[in-house]
Amino acid sequence: MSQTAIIRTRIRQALSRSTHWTEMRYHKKASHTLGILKGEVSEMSSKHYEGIGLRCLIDGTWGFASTGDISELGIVKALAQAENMARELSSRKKKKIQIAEIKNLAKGDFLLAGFDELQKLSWEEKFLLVKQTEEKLRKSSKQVESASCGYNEVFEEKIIMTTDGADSYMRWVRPEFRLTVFAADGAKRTTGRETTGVTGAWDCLFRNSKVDQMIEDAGKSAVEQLKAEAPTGGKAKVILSPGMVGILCHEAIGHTVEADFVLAGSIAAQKLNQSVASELVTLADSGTSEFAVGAGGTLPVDDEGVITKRVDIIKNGKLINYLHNRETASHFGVEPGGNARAWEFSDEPLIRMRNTFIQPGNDKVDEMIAGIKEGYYIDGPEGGQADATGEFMFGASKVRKIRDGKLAEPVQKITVAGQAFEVLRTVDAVSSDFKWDLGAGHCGKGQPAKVDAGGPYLRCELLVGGQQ
Amino acid sequence: MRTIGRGATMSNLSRLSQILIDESKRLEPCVAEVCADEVSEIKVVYENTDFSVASNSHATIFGLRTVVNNRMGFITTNSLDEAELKDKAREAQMVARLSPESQFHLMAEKQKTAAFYSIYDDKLALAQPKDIFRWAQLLVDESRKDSSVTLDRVEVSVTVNKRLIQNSNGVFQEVRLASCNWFVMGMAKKGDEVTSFDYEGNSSGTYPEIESKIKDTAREFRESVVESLGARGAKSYKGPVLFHPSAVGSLLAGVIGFNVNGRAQQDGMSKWKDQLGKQVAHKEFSLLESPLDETRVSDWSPFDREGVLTETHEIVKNGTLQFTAHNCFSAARGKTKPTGNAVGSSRSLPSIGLHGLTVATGKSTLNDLNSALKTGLVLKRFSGNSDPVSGQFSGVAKNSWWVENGERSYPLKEVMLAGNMFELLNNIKLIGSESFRQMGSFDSPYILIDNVSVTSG
Repeated sequence: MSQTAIIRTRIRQALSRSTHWTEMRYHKKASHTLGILKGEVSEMSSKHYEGIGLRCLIDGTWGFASTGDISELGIVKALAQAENMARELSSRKKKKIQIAEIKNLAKGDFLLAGFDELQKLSWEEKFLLVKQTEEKLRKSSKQVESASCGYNEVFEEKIIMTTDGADSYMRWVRPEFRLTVFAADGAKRTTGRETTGVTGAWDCLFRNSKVDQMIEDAGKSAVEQLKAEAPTGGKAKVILSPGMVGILCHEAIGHTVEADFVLAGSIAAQKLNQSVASELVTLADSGTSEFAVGAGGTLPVDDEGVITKRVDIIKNGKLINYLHNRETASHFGVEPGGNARAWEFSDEPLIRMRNTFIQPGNDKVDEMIAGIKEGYYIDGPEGGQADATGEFMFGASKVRKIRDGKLAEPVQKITVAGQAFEVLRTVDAVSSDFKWDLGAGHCGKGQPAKVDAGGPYLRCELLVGGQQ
Repeated sequence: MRTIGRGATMSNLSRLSQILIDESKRLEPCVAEVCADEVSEIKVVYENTDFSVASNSHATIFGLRTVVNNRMGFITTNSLDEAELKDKAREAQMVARLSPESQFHLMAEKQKTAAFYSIYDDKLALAQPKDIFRWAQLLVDESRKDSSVTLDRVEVSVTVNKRLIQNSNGVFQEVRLASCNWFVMGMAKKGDEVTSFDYEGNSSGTYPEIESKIKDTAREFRESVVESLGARGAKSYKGPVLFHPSAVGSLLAGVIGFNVNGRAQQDGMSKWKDQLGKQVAHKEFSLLESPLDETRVSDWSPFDREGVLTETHEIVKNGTLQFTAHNCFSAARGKTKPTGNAVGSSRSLPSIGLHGLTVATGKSTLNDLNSALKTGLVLKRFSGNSDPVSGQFSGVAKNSWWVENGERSYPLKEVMLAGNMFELLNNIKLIGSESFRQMGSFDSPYILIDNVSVTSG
């Protein structure tokens, strides 16, 4: 009997004793990380973390417990702790929780591609690529002072069972590859970065860009930054790359439509079934990798045992859905789309995005650029944040001026900002090209979540941070 | 009654750590180090208008680093099974054999003092769920004293952390910390208007002071979001900006922390390589590291991630750079001694960082600072990107306000800032005379800085 079959049996037995709705989640993570910084090892590690997270609903109140002890006794003890926490809290709970009933909870095995393939590939082969890449990067220009390269792969296995019928096993692997170059000219220092991350195997990891191309792009970006001038701040007409569109979808729209944020009073609470964007915009969040393979947030079943599906958030400019777990789906009287996710066994499931994107349109990128007299081409997403108001900001490291319909000189790293729905109203062109581009990123909401985001190129108007 | 799960005694952590070290040495001559963390936590979460979940969790994690013939390997595991731990020791050596050689993979030498450090209020460590619910309710009620306040999330937890650092050179350090930790996040709403979210948090290791500190946190949060109602744009300009202590922490302390990192200097990423003793900031600016300050519970570190004893450091004094932070690797590479600045958990290799930072106060009252600003931006929270290598930053002012003729005028929205953090350090005009603690660990006064680009949308 395999270890997972044994654990599945133990969980099934523990669940059979439960007299109320209970969810049990076994989660094993095995990660390998290799890193080189300026010729020296910065990371060479193998990490294992496994255990069980349990959640029970007693008298309309959640209780949660987690344990690394996956013995029968360990599971029973943790269940008792979760029950105790729910009972202790229930007298203070004003509005009793109900969860959405689901007819087709996940049953069976869900095995995503790449797991076996990447396990068979040796550490030596992976490490050699990291070592050679760092060397090449460091020698790519006289102005390069230092470089780093890192590879990380996370093999995950999960068992999700609930007293109302979910009984599933799933596994996947998520590799990431990142390189950073540091350039210097006198006292001035700059960085260039390239990253890729997928749910899938080795070939999938380099599907958008081969390693040599990544080296060239990172080096060029850092060296160009040494001479780049700061842009002038203010409202500007821009082309957003798929990566920037992805971060806009995720940070500025996605978070405001997470139903827990909606209930807390996010701006989206007032806008359901209203026009919030240009009719050219259809924005969705999906557990599968749509339009291109390997999206980093791909997920077959969520942590409440719900089979994931595509949730259209904005359709042809109209806000039509929020993102739900079973609790908020019951509150709003809708079906959940499989957005309940926990980072590790010791975390409770929260409403999280998976792969968030804007659907491609019909425009050609060259023609979109040609339509701008003065503006910016913005690429190289560097993290961002958004408020419940939909007011967002995010950084961009690869920015070029657009002058008379043509790409012109690079400018310094910038931050762009605006109110998400107002920016989406200004969209007047959507490209037919599509790319997932945030697969090496994580979303933070008290706990991390592996997500991806992307889309086509967009032409719109927003606020560019710069000098006065 | 609260129960603490398996592996709860320090002696058990020590016994299992010793198994990892002994097995590593038995397999092949090596130097081995274990960082063991054990955390028990009871937490209650309040979301929107109601309690949402109460949880009880327990985790024990071991991080084993071995160096075999100058090759380093690292593994982590949360297994407590002795046979499995021995397997993990073998795996760490397998990883090490794949690693390139480096003469700098040294571990800490035996310290003068091997001690058991503790901040452990029994009453707090044994707090009942009802205590934690009561504190959470207090944080909710105090935060919502103004009806416009909308809460997104409130968390209160009591944690008992135990850490053991042990290595085959004879290092043996233990620490135990019981603390109550809390934060509140939310915004204010009035009609159709919703402010930017804000958050406040703190922690305490002393049961009797928890209620009063929670009230302080709630008051600061409430005032911040309520005062953000009615936000509007301002005018774009380049000139002085008054930095709130929170913004000083996120922009100035961040760039300093990165650039005093010994490894960042050795790898050519830090602008402050070879700058010891040189002027890097305005002459009124001084920054101190106090890892032994027990009042900053969340940052209190009697020894570092490698077991090296910590001490107070003057990082910048009167604008002059005084200090480079090292762990054992960067110290060996730089032919110097580790400074007690190895940071990280049992799930990560030791990196380099600072603990318990204090920006020294100056002579100006808040009135003086507002008068000197005359008309312009007071930046409370910076939400944006800052690059500690180039020093460039660009982002949005949150929960910030406009000063007109030396008086607080109105809250702001859609205002962006951009500039260079190294230049900010040198463009300081005035430093406040009163210090404020941020999120329980960073102390700073308000600082008035010139030549900042402010863009209003």
